[in-house]
Amino acid sequence: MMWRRIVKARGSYFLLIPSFALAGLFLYYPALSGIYHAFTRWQAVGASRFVGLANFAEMATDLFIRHGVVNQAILFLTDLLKAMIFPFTVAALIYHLRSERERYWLRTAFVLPIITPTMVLVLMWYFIYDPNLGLLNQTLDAVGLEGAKRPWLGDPGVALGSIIAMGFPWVTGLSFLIFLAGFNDLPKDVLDSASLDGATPLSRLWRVEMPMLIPQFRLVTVLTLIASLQDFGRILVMTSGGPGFATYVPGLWMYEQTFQVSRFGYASAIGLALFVTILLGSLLIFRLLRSDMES
Amino acid sequence: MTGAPDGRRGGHPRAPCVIVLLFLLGWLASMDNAGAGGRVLISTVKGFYTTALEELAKQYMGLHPDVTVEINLQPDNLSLKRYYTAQMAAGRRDAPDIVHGNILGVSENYHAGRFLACNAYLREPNPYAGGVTWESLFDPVFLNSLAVDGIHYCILPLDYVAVGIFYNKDLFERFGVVPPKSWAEWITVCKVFHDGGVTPVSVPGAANTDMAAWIVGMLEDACLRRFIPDVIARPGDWNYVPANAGYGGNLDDPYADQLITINPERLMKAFLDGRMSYEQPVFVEAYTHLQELTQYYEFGHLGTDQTGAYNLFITGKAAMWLIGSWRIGSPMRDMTELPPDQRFDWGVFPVPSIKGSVHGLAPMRGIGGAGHQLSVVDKGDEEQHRRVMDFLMFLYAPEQAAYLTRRTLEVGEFIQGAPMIKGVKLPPELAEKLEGFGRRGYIKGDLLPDPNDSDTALRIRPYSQLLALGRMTPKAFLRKKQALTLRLVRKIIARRGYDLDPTTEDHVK
Repeated sequence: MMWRRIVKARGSYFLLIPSFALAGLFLYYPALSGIYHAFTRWQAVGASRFVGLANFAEMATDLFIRHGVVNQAILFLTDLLKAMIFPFTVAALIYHLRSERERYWLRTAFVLPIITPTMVLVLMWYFIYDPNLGLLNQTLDAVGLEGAKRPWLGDPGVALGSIIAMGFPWVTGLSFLIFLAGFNDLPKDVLDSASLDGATPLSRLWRVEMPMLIPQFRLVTVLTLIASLQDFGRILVMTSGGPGFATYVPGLWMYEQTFQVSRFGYASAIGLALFVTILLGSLLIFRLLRSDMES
Repeated sequence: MTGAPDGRRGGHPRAPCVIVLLFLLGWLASMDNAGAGGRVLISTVKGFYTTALEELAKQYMGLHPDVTVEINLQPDNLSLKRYYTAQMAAGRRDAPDIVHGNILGVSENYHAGRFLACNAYLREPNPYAGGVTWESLFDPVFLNSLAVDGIHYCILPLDYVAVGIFYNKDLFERFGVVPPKSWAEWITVCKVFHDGGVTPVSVPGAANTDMAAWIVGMLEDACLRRFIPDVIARPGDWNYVPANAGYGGNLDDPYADQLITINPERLMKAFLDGRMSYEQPVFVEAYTHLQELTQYYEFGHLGTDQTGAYNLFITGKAAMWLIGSWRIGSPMRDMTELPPDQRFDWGVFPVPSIKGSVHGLAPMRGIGGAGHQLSVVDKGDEEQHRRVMDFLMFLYAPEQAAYLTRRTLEVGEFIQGAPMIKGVKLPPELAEKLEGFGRRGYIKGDLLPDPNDSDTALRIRPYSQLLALGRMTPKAFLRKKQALTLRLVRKIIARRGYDLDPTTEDHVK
């Protein structure tokens, strides 16, 4: 039956072949190749050689990975908090505004910064953190808080905190939009019933709206997990992992092992480990954040 | 069926005739364009002496109306490489005659026979320099260091780059200090500024622009030179060259080891046997001095990039700035744009040596070497080579070389360093600044197993930063460095298939 349908629409399927071929060549083949090469020793020159789990054994003793995992865990947790608390709060406040006009303008105001390229924002923060001429230390100087001045990116004690603080006030466009869309989809009759039953705005938010927004929380959590583990660009630009090991993350070490050291096999192993972490983490999040309504 | 528009079959084939005629005219025009005396084509990267080069080309054409000098400018290094490779692949006829050699990879070009050997030309008199031999206008150390087995593949150094300390003369005067002549004096000067609330030394220390590493390189060179007699190639070694015979081991002569050859297998063995080790007292002494200096770097230097470090200096917030000769144009240009009350007089001094070393540290040498190098492409045409050489003799004559430097700075383009040509007369202010870098040789990278190994550099970087912050002792740092160096040595031995017998040449596996 299915084959008959395919034969009938063969013209359409034929036109789809280039898209699938290119996706296979540029998306799936490199990914699958990476999985295979995680078990090989593959340098810039010469053929790759199968080495079993040797790359993973090396990862277990690699100081950069050990420090990187701890830093990554801190970054993920703080990224998650930033992606949940602030966008959710702003979305809730805007949703509950009475004036449709104010809602429109505020929504636009919070979404508009999405158009700024991420790297521009990263570089802007780089200048803000400049220890001598940056906005932050200059401001502290101006208000008489010289004692609070820090080398924000040059001190192992504060560098990771500085990376975390980037992007303040953390109302990231995508998370905000997901929560706002969730609020807009809430069934009016349920909310009206809660109000009629005497629920205060806060108890309505806590007991009615938030449980119904579990799918949004789950989506934001998964997206944050993926973004946090994959995004080493901000660290590469800001600190290159330093000072010391203070801001190293596995993704950055993978990048350096690939493009600076040409150890493609080892870098593939780090990449595979990150992939497995994201996969298992996503499955765990889906299991933990299953709402009663869905089950 | 085809035919002429007027219906006559087999009419005059006008269109093909016109095409052939146009082709012939084009060919004749290109012949004419080359001039009866021919054409010299230079290909270089925009910004490297561009304006002055164009003006000198015009001057030359004024002297030789039958020769056309064309300058092909490429936007960046990669574009130059692509252009040159494509032209060479197309048969060299239209390839540039003169190229920016060190961008293109000197060794791969002379090994491939693309660059012309020019020993004979170098021995000829230079008509644009009063008839002295052309060779005598170059610094022999640099010229010879670019030769291979005595053959000069026309890789001609135009200038040399060096690293030094730019200093604010007005601040020095106000604090009653003078440019230091020794490391100890430098530390004292730093302390004076530090106590006076002025940043002593501004150094770009961010990971991607770590220029503090230059001082590390100089200090390590001062430690490593004492090991040369142990690792120099000797008669019977597979890479022995007679130039080694003249090495007298004088550590005070910065050029004594410039042309000698190190036997890599002796070097690897010395590290494995522990005869060379970062844990030896001489390294501990050097790194202790280094750590003492780092406390005088600007606040948060590990988070400061080139722009930040320069801004500190140009705004008068830092008394000194560690940088290379290629930035000499920046303060010269910016000083004229500052409000008069913010301008200051400035100069350059070299990184001072550690005098009275307990463990025998040699005097400091510079970092850098020949900067802008022009090379001549071998086109197999003696007449064309002669034409190209005549233009180069013009360009490398003292008067023109001086113009090249002066004019480049005037128009806000950048030079890489002091002109290499002897007898060049520069304006006194510029000459004083360029002389400030000091001519004291260059560190010898061959004394390290592989200074360009990225993996080792990445692994040592976190510890270097902790050392600079004073969170690691020099001894603990050197223990880590030694372990990583031994790891590298073993990797190199395996990679190159060394049997550690210096008399047999081993082949890469």
